[in-house]
Amino acid sequence: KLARRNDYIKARSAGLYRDDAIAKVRVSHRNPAIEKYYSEFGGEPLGHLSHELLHTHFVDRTKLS
Amino acid sequence: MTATTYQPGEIQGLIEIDASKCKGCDACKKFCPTQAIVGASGAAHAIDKDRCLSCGQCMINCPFGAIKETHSALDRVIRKLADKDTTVVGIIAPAVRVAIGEEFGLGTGELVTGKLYGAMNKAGFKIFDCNFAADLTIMEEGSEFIHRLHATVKGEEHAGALPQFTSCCPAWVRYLEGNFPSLLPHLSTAKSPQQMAGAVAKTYGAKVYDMEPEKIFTIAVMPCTAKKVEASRPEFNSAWHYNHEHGAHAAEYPDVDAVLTTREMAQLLKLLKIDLATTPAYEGDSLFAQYTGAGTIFGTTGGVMEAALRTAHKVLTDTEMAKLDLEPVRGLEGVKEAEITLFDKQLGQEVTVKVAVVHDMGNNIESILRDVAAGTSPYHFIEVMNCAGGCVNGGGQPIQGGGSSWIGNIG
Repeated sequence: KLARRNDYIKARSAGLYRDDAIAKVRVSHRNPAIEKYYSEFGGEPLGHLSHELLHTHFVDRTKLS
Repeated sequence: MTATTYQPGEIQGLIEIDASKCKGCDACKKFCPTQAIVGASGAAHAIDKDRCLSCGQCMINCPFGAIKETHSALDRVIRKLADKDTTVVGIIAPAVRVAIGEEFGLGTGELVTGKLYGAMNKAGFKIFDCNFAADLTIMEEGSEFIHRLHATVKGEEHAGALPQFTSCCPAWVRYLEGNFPSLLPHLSTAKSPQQMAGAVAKTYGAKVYDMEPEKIFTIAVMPCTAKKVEASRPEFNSAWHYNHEHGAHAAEYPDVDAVLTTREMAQLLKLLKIDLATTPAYEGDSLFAQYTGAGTIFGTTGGVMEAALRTAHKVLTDTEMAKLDLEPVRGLEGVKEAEITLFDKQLGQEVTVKVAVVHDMGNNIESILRDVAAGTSPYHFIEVMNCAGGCVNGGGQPIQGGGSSWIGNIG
């Protein structure tokens, strides 16, 4: 009954690794939907639209008031 | 004006201790990454909201159920689902699919992607798998890493800081912003998958769904409480900006309208009398339900790094990694490291990439940051997740009751 914490972390992680192992495609750059996103809309990684929609900036929280 | 660690509009004080239930046992303090919990042993404790990252680790590990969240979007979500004029998009994080089954009597860690899609479809959601956005994150963050690496090797000015830190975990980002602002240039500028998903759903998604963006309501289903605070950051309204520039006039809206934890999604399905355990599998309704194995492992410690290296290898060498499983970054050791040597075709030379993976942040990050600040870090790329084990053990996941979840150490 003790030390169960690791057991459920391991069980859930194992579930995700299984999802990876059974996936038809296992690398992000070959996801056809991602290719479609960039070709129909987003352009290319780090491109103009990526900067507008997919990147951000961070905040120095020691200077907020 | 008094100092605060919050920007205007951000959810504050998300995690709260109920003084009438707290026994002052100190269990929570052991799990807090920032020593934000104050109060003497035996006396009721309280949370310093300016130090708190909203990770919820205290809450899922409190043996007395004395710690609660102060914000729930459940009522709003129910109203939006009932509104025929609204397209409700459910953005499903990787770690949810291996935990929500527990709330419906299924085994711990059981993978229920199809059933979850089915249950959410029945409830009225469009399915937007956050794993799709995780794949998108790899494309952006991986490209950014290669850009920084190449510029550094070539000795270019303004090359971008190395090591590069991952930026998916909102508790980690908030920790760095509040405690080590000088290291912020090391963070990847890529948004988290949640925020990419929201921005994409209301721009490209509006075309895919053939729907006006302001009628799309995005609900992220997350294993995480800190994601609620992330979604409330005022800068995360990129889709509104984009649509505004393209002629729309709607009032300002956020990229992610609401966040439900895994627990709250289970609660919602139960309220709607949908039994996930017996729901037939559903495949999804658009390209946003297509994801790869690399995207899905974002939910466990080491997964982002493994996914990033798979793609970096292809980009740098033009060949796929021979063995996709990257064992050194798997498992529960506090700091994991890996090294890969490959021939970089663009640079025309061999490069050795050294990476590290950190989770259970409160116990493991300090020496890493000290090295980075001193300029002596041996790494090029570092993944950081706040929670022990990564998102699978996030503060929004089903709570293993009866005190079974809090005894025993990570190892």
